[in-house]
Amino acid sequence: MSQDPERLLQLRSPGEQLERELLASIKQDGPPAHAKDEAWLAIAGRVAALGAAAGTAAAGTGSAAASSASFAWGATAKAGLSALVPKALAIKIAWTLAAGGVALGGYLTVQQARSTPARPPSPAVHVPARANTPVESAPAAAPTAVPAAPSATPAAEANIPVRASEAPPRRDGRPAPLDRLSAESALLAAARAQLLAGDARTAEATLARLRARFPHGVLIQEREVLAIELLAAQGRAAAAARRARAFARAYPQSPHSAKLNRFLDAP
Amino acid sequence: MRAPEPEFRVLYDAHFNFVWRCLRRLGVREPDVLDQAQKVFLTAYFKLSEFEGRARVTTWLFGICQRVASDYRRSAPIRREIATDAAELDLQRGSQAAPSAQTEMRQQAHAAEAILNKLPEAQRLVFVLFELEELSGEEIAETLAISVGTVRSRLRLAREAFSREVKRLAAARENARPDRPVRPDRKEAV
Repeated sequence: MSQDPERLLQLRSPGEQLERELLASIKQDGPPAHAKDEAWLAIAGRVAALGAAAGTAAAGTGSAAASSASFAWGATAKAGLSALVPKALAIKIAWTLAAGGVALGGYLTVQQARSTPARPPSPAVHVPARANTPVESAPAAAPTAVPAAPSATPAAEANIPVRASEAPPRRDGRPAPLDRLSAESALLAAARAQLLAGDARTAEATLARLRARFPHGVLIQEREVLAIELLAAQGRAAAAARRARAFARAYPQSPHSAKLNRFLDAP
Repeated sequence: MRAPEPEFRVLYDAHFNFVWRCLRRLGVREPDVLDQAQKVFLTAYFKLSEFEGRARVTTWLFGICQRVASDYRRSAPIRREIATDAAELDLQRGSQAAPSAQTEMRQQAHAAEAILNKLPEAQRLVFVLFELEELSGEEIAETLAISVGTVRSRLRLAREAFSREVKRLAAARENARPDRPVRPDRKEAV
């Protein structure tokens, strides 16, 4: 916009030379070449591990079909993504890499240690893929209310081995942050699936469990939005409106705030 | 079991560098940034069903980065202070040896990081988005849900603070120069 001041990096006066040098140096700072693939391997591993854990709970057999439903990657998500990425770009499917990622996930710790010899040890960086993610309170039964993504390739999925149980336990015995996030996500996905399936009562119980277990969770906003949707689904419009207003006050910057407008009409 | 959807991979590919840079500039230490970036994308993956394309994807991802970085800082305040101190030490040691261009660039980046770490959070966000991500005032206002006037005033304050810190560190660097004339009668000159 035209009234914006000139950026420091574009100023020509000699007075700010060091300022510009410092800014330029931080601007050049970017991820090392291997970082993107390393992180992807871990993410693909986590996603597959979560699916496997939820699938086991749902079907008792670790069935791939059951897990995909509990993952709540619904039609909305697909629509959202289509809006974000040009379709043409989405044609090339990265299943092979994803599959390789899971296969390598168990070795990620070693790989990372090797690729970053100069770094100080950081336990948080070690994110091995685990199929047996501790989701003991994960959905007992995830209703298949959310349609499975049509693009899922069964053959490719069947080829994904999960080297999960090889992950070393943390020394302090507490779940790693990503394990916690996985468990939190699984509970949230279960509650959402239950609500979508019309089982508001079970969804409410799952949400209560989620709240008790992760009072300050990463997905706290999503939990709150779901709670508001639940109230609306139960016909408690005034309560939903009250809570939606409180949400907008607490998280004015949240993209969810705009979405909650539809609950605000109630008295 | 399930692999991430291919579209998610496209989203990831297109925005990994953006997320990495944002996290670094929001105070996540280099050894931790990969882990935190994973957290951002996993969160994005799970939240995607609720993202309805009302905001730009960078705005949305930046919001997640902000939350993850803020959690990170809350959980690792001591580590962060150590990082800040280490970055300052690097800066002050910087001119004692004759560093290679690459080392020098790295030291500069650490110094800049240390200075960013000293800015108040609200100012830092505006400063990073304007000076480094080169967003316009209006785009920043939209991203942070504040007015353009507030963007301007925070930017002005951030620039003043940044400039002040740069001068302070320039002075420290000058003091640390090995060829600086030593005056034995005034050892404590600062």
